[in-house]
Amino acid sequence: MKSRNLIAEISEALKNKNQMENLRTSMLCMRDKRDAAMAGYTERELTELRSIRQSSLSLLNENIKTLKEKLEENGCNFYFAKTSKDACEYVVNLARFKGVKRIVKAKSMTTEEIELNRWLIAEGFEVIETDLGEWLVQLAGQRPSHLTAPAIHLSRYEISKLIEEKLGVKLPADPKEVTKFVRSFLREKFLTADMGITGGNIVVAETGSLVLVTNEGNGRLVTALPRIHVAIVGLEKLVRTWEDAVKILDVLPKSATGQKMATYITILNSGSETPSPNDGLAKREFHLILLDNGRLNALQDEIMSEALKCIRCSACFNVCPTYRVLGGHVFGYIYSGPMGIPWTYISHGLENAAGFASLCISCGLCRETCPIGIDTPTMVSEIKRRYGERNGYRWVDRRLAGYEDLVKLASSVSNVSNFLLDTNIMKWILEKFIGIDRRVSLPKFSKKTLRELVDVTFTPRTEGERKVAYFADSMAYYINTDVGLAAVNVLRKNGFEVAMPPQKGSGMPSFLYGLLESTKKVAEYNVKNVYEYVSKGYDVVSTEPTAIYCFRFVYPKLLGTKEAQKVAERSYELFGYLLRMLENNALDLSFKRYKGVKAIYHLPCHSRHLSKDKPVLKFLEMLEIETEFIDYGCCGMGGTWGMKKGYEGYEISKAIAEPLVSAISESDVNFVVTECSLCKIQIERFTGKKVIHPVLLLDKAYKGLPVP
Amino acid sequence: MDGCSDTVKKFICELERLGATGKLLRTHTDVVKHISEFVMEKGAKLVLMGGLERRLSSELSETITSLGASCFDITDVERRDLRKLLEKADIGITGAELAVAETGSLVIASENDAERLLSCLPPIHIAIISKEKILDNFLELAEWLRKVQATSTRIVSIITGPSRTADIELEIVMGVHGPCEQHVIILEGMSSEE
Repeated sequence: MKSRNLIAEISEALKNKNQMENLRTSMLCMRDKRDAAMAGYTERELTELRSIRQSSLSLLNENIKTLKEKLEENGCNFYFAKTSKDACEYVVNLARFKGVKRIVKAKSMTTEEIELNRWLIAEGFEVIETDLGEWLVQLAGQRPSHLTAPAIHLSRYEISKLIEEKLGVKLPADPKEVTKFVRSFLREKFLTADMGITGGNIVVAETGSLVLVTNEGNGRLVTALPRIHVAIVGLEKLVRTWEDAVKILDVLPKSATGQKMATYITILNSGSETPSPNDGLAKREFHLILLDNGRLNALQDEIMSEALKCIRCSACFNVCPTYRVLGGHVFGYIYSGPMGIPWTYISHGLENAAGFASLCISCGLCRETCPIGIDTPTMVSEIKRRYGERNGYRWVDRRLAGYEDLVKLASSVSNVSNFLLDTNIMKWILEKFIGIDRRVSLPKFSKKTLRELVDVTFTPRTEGERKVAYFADSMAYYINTDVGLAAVNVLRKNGFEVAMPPQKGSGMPSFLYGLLESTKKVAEYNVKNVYEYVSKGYDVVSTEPTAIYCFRFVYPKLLGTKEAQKVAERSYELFGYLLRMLENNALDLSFKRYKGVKAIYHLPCHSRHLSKDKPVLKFLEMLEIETEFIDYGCCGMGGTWGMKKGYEGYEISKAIAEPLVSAISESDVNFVVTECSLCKIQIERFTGKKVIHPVLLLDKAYKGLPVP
Repeated sequence: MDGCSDTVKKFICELERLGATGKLLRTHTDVVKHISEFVMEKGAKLVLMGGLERRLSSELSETITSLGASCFDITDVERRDLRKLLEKADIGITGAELAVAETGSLVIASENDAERLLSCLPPIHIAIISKEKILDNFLELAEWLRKVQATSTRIVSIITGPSRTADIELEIVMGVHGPCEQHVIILEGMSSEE
């Protein structure tokens, strides 16, 4: 195994501005199409999908048995391949035994996973990919960079150049012309192939049926013309019934490409009779290879088994901030993109997965966009943990994971810290000895902590109706204390008794770098202290979206306790909480309006998980601030990740932020509004515009003061 | 589209969105007239049919042949000629077991691959389906799929619009490997003919 020089790969990718721009535009377009197509899906339907995937995996053994029986009843060949080698050898031997010369393939990530082409070509077989994108990638001698759009990294110009170089055919840089050429070029291959190889999107156990989804129609030709058809399918694709299958078929194209339905679905349970070139109808041989290659191990793995629920729609690629600027050749091994990290772990091992897992910045957008709700961020953190435990954590990761302790320490001597942070020598020390890029301006500490500044209840009370336990998180506690004060004011103004439980920072930095033991300790501390309030009828409210994200999704998973669950159920982001009050007519509306003030709103990633309603936008509207909502997804900060020096963080983070930064820089707004204190750092450092937490606006409005 | 039920309207609307066409016709005679005119308009030389009601395919074959093009039902073709004809055909005409209005999908079950290739190889695919066979929602297919796959080895193809790709810079191009054109004829009443 060759170890990767990821830094060199990153610097190379970031130099390729054209590719970055194309990829970014494509991913945004796919995201928006996908979101529009999925808009009709209800929470209930999505939960049902998740349970279908769950039950398919719990019934795996039974389903495999039924599948085998059904296929054999229909005269088909069933083979269970334990490893990729087993699967490849089966195909090679079959092809050799049957005198195969030419093989046509429909797009299949599973055959990429086992590197089947390499095996077949080494044995002298001619192997031709027939999906347009896959064919281009094969011609270029590359591997797919995206799950459903394998050649998305190539521009039309590169493509026409490639075809000229490899085949000596001059074509205009026009997708229509290229497609026309490929149609006739590949038609002849289809007609003369002896064997067709496909993957499979679903296998339905109850009738022993293979389900194949394509748009181009190559899947149909590959399964209708050659005299042998081999399908290689990962065992996680098995479902029990047709009711389950149609539900997945319904969501797959919507979530994959934003199509209501894929163009072609081919369903077969045997080899049918095909008109052979000169001999009338001949029965085709059908072989189904069910592939394990690490999947059964993963099924036993409490954390990684989650990945087996993946339906391979690729929606997570479209939203992943680092994938979007680096592309699938850097952000991947063979499997690429967010789902590629756990899938590389499952099929190609820890080392290869850890080789690009560090590019995940834990924005969690993959999880949020996944139709099955697969918790990829936790799997990625766990992979970082397993790798760190085995090979040691990186120095900079360890330091940044302890960022919150560092903040606490530095805050206790805030005068000295604030002085030092501005000095070049300190910036040099931070870069040299910790790994924080010297271009990063760290925020100034508040002279007093929020606890020292605000007079709030410390012990939970039982009497009283409206009670809130305010969770500040590190930034509002030590640095942006004005946000904490404003939140307390706003809540009090609405008749709440506000308490502040003993608390530590949310633990997100350690989660991000896979130091899950530290995250767990913080989780235990916060849950224990907050639970005391929750059990006395308090709701937990925070101004930091990441904190509530941790309470809702990270802590319950790490701790698995009833207390953590209870706390999760009662945790709210401040504006989501206020919106609920507004809807119940319980919100004091006697605040000032700011006609003529203009703002841009940036939605933090972790807020997306907490509410679909974008509550801040509603409040900005009520304040009569003319607001433009710009949605480029993640700003690229990833907490402390964007502070890492050079190509480890800073440069990528900057590239991710580019479209957001130029949109903000070009606008004439008075300020930018966002809830997340780390997005604030990112936007301020690259645009120079002021970024304000919405609670500061609301607080001023209640007091009748002008906007800050 | 006057007089169309909501389901038919929805189906035709979806087909058009996909870059296909949908047309509601009343009788076999209308269908024969419509298709033979279309064949002439396209200048097609070879039309192949499969999975159609016998009377309809005979009428089509007779009319189209009389206009100077070749037109065969694949069950009438010598088996050893099948492959060659399929490779050469300009238009493939098939029936369909079901359709789904919501998605604009056709559901075709083929006895063999000669039948399946009718909607794969030729650049133009025409499907004829009776109005009663159009379902509203995709999820309604589950029971039918189970029955067909449990009791036969017929291959099921669910086809939604013409062949397409967006593999180059996400630009949509029709007719990669499958048909570039798809036309669906919805028959008002298979049994109630004049």
